[in-house]
Amino acid sequence: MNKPSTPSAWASPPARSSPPSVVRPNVSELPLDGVSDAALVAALLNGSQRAASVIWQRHAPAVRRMLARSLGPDQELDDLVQEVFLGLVKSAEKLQDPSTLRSYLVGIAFRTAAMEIRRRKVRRWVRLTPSGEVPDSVARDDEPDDRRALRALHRILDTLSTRDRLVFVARFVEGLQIEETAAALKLSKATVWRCGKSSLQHVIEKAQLDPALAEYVERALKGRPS
Amino acid sequence: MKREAPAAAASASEPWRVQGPEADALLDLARHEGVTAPESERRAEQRFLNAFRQAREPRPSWQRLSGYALALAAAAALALLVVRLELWPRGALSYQLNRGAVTSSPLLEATNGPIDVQFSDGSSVTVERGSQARILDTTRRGAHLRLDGGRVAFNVLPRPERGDWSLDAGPYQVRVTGTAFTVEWSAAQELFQVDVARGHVLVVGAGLRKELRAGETFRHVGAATANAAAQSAGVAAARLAQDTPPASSAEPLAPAAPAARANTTLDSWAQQVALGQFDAVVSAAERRGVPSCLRACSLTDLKALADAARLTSRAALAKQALLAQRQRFAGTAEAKAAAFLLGRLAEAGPASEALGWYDTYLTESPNGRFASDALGRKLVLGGARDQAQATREAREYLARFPAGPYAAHARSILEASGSGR
Repeated sequence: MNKPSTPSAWASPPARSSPPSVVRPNVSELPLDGVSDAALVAALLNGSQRAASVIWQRHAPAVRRMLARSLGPDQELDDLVQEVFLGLVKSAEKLQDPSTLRSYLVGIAFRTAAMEIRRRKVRRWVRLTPSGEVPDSVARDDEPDDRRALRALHRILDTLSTRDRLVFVARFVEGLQIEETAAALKLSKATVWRCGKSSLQHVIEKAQLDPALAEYVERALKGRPS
Repeated sequence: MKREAPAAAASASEPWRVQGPEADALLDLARHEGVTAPESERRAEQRFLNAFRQAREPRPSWQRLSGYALALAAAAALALLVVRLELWPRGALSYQLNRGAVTSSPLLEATNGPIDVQFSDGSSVTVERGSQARILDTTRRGAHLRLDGGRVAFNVLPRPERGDWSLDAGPYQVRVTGTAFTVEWSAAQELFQVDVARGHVLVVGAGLRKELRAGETFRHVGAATANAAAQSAGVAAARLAQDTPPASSAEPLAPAAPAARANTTLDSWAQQVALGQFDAVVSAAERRGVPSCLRACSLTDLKALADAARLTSRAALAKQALLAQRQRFAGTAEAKAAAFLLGRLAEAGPASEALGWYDTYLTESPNGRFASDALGRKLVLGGARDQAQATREAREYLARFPAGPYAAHARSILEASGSGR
């Protein structure tokens, strides 16, 4: 049997200095770190701040990463992560299968990213510059090369439609399967397949013509083991 | 800077392929996610928790009142709009028999053959031979029927406004929108079955709330429904008191108890745990008999029972359920995880017991999802052991989980032993 070296200790509650009926271990204060997402959602709905904290710690890094990859360098990333989790708090009751919390958060994160992309487009239209770019997104000569390349890549992603951009990020950057992408973005699998193919082709073609990206790729390939 | 050169080279070379090394390098770049300082992460979490707390706090009364006023104004505006859109009540639906005969309306007793009832909105109900149903009420948006026994088929036409069709069958109620489905009910055999051909329906009652879509079937056969069914005839079954049926059907029934029937597959303990109904799961296990459950319950049920017991401070029961998982389902992921949870429970007693379980967990699942926590708890509890071992474990923790929640504790151990950098 898989037990530690003192199995007999488990036959009865551990000996205590006071009667067992009086002293009961405060199990409810155990960390919820090992608890399933489903139980966490249930506790969240009951108003548990500890559950909210564990959900944040467990999923915030992935949500932040997904938003960063969808939107590129953005000073408002923290606000958007907050937006995603507050969205969860408001809509957790609608979550039919609490064990799918991660997928649910992925869906909220992509919807939040989509709204942010649309907000940016409006801002860009309002603050239109001759190049059509938001001034603070223009690369500078003294920028590190990788950061310059990243900005260039996101400028190319800006030329995609919101849907194509998010499909590109979900499929090729986040590595989600077609089914997962379709569920998160509420698209059909055929649409995901089609958008993924065309967006990847578009990004590759544009990237090859961009000096910063061409230089980055050349440098990256030289640095790779053959 | 030589930024222009690669572009020229690239344009002169072959086009990049979608599945080539250039594309891979580009996607690696796209996977860049930036770095966030731990302090910034902590601040962000705190900000979220503050917002969460505020969202849970009741709003001041003046805010609520202004909310009510707004809601009232919106409702009034909507009512005016509805009137304007000619959704004026047009009277209750009427119905006629298309086939068969009835002895007394609204009783539909299909003794000699099926009975077809046609409603004025185009919907129809067929009571199959040998079945008995009755029309309890009709409204302008539907009808309320009861199936005393046998089988009925519904064909409800979709309507622009929400339909109001429902059928009571024993302890269940089937709520309908626009759909086609059949319901079978037998109090003697304790059989209830719904087959949905089109649209969707909602089945409620006997602790259940289940939405069924086209092509889905719900079937329940069980002894526990008989008493409830006998008590519930003629009353909306959704309000059935599950565990304590009323003494008389004439008395108003109590709202459904939160505890759900444990042997109903659509309302499993795991689902109840997910819904936060921890006490209900424990009560169900106690009704079934805890020793019997520990011997015969499925792994999923045992896990749910352990979770429910842990989360309601029933440490002894939680321990029994976890030990049963390890004994009966040794080698499964759940059994391995149970070792960690047993360690957490054992922390209420002598440290050596908890440490034993953490060692067991780390031996069985060195890279399991609780590995960081198991190692960390060992660091916290291991103060009484020899310093060399504590130092070794602190080093291991920092090597594996440099940003883990016990990293600061591990560093303090190393500093105390003089091994800190």
